[in-house]
Amino acid sequence: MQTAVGGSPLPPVAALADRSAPSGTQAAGPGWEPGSHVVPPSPCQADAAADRRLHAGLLLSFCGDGLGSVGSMAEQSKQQSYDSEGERVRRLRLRADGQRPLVVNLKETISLTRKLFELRDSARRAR
Amino acid sequence: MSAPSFDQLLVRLVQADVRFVVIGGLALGSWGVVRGTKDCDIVPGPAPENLDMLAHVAAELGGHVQLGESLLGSERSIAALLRSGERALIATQLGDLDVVQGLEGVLPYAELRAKAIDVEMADVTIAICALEHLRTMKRAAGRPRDLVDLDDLDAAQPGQSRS
Repeated sequence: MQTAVGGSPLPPVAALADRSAPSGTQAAGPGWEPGSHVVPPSPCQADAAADRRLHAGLLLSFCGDGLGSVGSMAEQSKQQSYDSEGERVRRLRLRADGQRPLVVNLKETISLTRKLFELRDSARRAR
Repeated sequence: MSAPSFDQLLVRLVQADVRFVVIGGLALGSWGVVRGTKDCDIVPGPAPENLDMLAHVAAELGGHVQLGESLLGSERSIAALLRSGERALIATQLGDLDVVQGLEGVLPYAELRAKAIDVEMADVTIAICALEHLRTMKRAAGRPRDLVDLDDLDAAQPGQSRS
């Protein structure tokens, strides 16, 4: 019997994406409390957030191998510092996303997925 | 297939009165771990008429299932596959629909539905599996990706520790 559960991921692209504090109207929803430091974005802002994630993912995919080949101790140390900072930012972003209404995150997941597919398709056409 | 429109796919299913709970990547994203996903994973209600309606919608959307050398594309053949209790990855015009059933570690529909969160999107109500159920299924799957997802879920939902 198979044991795999669905949810086949595309490469995670949100890893190091920064999220500038969005502005907008707060909305009620599961896990959402007025006064929370994170405000659910408008659809336009959600798209912008998805764009930032996408660009961060692209940067990672393009730069990943190069960063891994850095040789000197100093550069390695610098890289570890970046990794640590990136991980901290990533977890902060996850925590902020976890406080948003489910529907906002669902829409953003769908939007992000669509953009990734479009990007992949355009890359294939360009080859 | 062009870029998927999972929102439209979910809406079509709900509008056809198909009973299901969203699991997998879309559920994970809903709970705050936003990442791309290749397909839309659902656990359907097991009633034969529900599976038939699911097959009907899938066929309307040009759905087909690759089974070895066979390609199932008719409503009847997809319905028969679903009624057999098999998992079916249905490629539709709106994206791949992974109909998950009969898998070890995946909770039955009734249990999932009982604690699912109803989300309003595009004038329909979509059932998203509960956080604890998502964690349970991720733990059961246990692939490296699932373990990363569990870790990310902990970061996204720090107030609700793993049980």
